[in-house]
Amino acid sequence: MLNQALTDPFNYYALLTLGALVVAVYGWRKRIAWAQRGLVIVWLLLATLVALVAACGAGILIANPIAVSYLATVGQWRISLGLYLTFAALALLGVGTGVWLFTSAIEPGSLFTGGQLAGNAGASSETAFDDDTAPELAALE
Amino acid sequence: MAPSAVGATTAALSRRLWAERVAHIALILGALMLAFSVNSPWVSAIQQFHMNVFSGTDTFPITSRAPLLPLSLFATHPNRLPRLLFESVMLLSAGLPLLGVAFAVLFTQPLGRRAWRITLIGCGLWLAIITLHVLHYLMLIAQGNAFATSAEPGLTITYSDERAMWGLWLTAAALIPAWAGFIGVWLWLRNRAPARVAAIAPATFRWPLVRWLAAGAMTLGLVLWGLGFLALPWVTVNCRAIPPISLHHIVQGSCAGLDAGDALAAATPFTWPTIPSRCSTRRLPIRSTTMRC
Repeated sequence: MLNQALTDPFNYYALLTLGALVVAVYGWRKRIAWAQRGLVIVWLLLATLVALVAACGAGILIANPIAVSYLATVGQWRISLGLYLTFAALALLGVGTGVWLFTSAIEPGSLFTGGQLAGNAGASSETAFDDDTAPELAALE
Repeated sequence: MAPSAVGATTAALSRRLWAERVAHIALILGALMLAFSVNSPWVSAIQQFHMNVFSGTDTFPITSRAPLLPLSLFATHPNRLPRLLFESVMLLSAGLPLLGVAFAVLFTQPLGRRAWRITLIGCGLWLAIITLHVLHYLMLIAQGNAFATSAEPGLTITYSDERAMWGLWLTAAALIPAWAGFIGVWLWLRNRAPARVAAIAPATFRWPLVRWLAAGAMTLGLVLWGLGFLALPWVTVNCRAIPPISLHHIVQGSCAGLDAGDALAAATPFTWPTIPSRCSTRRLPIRSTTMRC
């Protein structure tokens, strides 16, 4: 079961795509926690590692056309646009992320609660509780 | 106020915060499990080929996922739908299992009242769709109809010994924490947007223009990465122009291509030299100009 999960490319697709969505959201946030920055860096490293492994696989596929004989194999197998585009995108992402890390504002907090903690920390007399808890707070006073 | 009353109120608030956290963690765990299990093998069977022309029969064990959108109908009749549109829908449908994680993460964010309600409804609908999908497949497997028999001139494919695989059971199990978490979030988790909006100070950061450019470069890079890694083939044969969007291996006339997943699997030591993929019908003869799984 684990073997199947590890070797199934679709699980990599799913994980990396999910990470890409999160990174895209983080990129446009005005404030970012260190944990969230770390997640962006980890995603970039993981995407690069997976792309490098896949590039090795592409070389193996080209060198062993028998392994892909279930498709049309009459002709010379070549590296295609997908590989080039992926690495170009990773290079662009690397530069963009580097500049983004240098210029974005830092806030305290964890991976999920960065924004909330910063908001709550700034609220001196105000609290993080919403209207539903207001009666209980009023009772306390 | 009496000290005992203050203590009781504090304890109630503490209990509520605990319930919020537990519900949210359950929803996140359930959504992560579902994102993994929905893409895992759901059903196995023995596939039998009856080739009338040569009077031959062959048998293969196969496993299959259960796609949330039944797009195979269009895949076998590509002329009914523009190819690019079909590929785009395929790309979007591949992301459907991840929606639960996106909803779970959204609940951590301060949202407007309407956005909060839409997120709640969306998450509930998504869970309902997955639940119905599981029930549907359990019924199909019980009836032995998970795979549809296909017949073409000279070739008939039938299936026998259909069984539910671990992916289906894991999905069913993941639905329990996911539903429990969703109901808990619905009942207890509160949107903290008003407090946050009032409290937050304006963010200051260095060189706003440079930061905008960097954020733009990151977004553009992610789009290009998605196109290159998910949608375009990595190795091709006999493709003269820019290869078509593939999402998986393609055959268009003499032009064929393999995607990043195939390349990744080829480099994985567990499975080499056979190529694992989510395509369970790779041994089939190519029947149309475009074949995909």
